[in-house]
Amino acid sequence: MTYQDRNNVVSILINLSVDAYIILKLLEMNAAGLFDGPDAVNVWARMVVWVIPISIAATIGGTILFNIAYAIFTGDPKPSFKVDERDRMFDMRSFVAVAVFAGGGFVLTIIGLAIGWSALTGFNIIFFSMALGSLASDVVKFISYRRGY
Amino acid sequence: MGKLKITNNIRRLRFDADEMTQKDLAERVNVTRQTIVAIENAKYSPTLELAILISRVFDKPLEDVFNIDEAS
Repeated sequence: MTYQDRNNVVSILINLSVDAYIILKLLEMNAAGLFDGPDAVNVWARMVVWVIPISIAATIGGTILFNIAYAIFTGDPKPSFKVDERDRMFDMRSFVAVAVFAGGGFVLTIIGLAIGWSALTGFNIIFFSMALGSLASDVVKFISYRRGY
Repeated sequence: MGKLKITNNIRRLRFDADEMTQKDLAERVNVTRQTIVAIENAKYSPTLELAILISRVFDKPLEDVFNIDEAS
């Protein structure tokens, strides 16, 4: 398992965990009626705003811990951190996934708002389309590294 | 015209160069070993810069290292 493979696996797992947590939290808040008032979007934003730094910290921390654990268990004394042109190609390929999902989500939101969906629904679509894009980006990278091109 | 495939003689050239390993070649051109594997298997076409660096390692002209498979 290469350094990039390990990072992709960690990133996929952390993305899935964070997304699952947010979905459960939003469902819980919705069931409690917290999104029923006129400040529903503000309540939603106050919950989601924490997710961004937590997600970044979890990805960095998880990657470092996983790589340390991997080096200890496999006895790999000198992991390679080299990045070359093929890595950059995979990065660009994975960025397309983010752009497709985020762009699609934005367009869907605009259409939804135009036909009368609530602003909260719109924000949720934008947020989760980006989250899906991030996940898809990691999956694209993982597949690219596994097949080698 | 179908999609042209870039082929190469890197495996043979490595063998001729005192059985140079993929790792050695990767270090000499500053890429990962996985990139050399992908190039050798014609799964990945290197940039012109990397192709020139590889041909310099073997002290060969570019066309002796890389070819276009026009039949594919």
